Amino acid sequence: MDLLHLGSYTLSSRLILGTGKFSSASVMLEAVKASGAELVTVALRRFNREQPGDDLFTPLTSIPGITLMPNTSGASTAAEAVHAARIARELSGSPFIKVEIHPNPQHLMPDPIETYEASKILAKEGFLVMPYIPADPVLAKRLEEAGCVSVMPLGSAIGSGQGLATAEMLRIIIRESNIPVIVDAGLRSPSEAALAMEMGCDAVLVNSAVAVASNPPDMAEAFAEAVAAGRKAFRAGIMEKSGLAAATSPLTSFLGSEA
Amino acid sequence: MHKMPQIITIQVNGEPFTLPGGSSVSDLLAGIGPEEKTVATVVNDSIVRPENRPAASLEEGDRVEILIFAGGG
Repeated sequence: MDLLHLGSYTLSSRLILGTGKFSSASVMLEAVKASGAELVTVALRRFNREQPGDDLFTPLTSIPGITLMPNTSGASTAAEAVHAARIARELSGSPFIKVEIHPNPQHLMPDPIETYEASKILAKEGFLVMPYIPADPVLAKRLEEAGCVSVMPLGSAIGSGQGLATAEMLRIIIRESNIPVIVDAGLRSPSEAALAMEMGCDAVLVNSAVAVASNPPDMAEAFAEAVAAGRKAFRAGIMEKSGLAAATSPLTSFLGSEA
Repeated sequence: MHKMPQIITIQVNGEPFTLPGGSSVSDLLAGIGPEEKTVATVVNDSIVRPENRPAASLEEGDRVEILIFAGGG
């Protein structure tokens, strides 16, 4: 079995699904089921008695085989993220935390310094830390050394659908990393997820591309198939590129030829 | 002649909220509505676990956060 190891957890699905931006909770739940994802992200928010249906804890945890990975979105400093992570762990009962610290809503780029500081503290507290980071190989290595169970570099800006704009940096991170590399953010279509997996990413995290599709459950399934295909291709060994043609059919002994 | 129940004002998710003195975090949740297991509670920046909520009495001026999991990526 080709399993993804994250801390003490082993997952058979390499697609992690975000739960934001769906038109309704019921559509989101159908997409989660269709995706086969075993790890899904959620955000910590204030309870609003006017909108009790916002709560996703009960419906998500009643799907068999789902583990929650709360994120720290909304935090703009390491201290805020650590506080949010501790609260989230009480509620989720899960050791996973997606450290997400982006101070600027215009571009949502992760703050590498605050992310590093928060990740270091949370890893020492026993969290399975999954930091959302810029595609920076040096930062990725530092986070590995700080005890993170994976790094989640961005393909492109959150919700932008710009795909693997950071592909060359991702290749370096994948080559150098001893922990799983998960592309998080920016993927628009299943082919991009397949490409990320063919490059050697260990998993992908997708949210917007599924949530805003006309048919989110079908798109979730399409991403799952693409991730599985990309992974299978990576493991099967993808041929090298060549500048020259190399025939697949014999070039000799054609009918009517002299020799 | 019995004593009038004292009313205290606290902050719940940033909004003023009044309730009888001596109320606990559990009493507050029962009055507001969410199921206990679906929320995290924080009083003055300290997490109050579900098993401690019945005994966690609220005081005038306390800042209470009641948090849920919502959709997020």
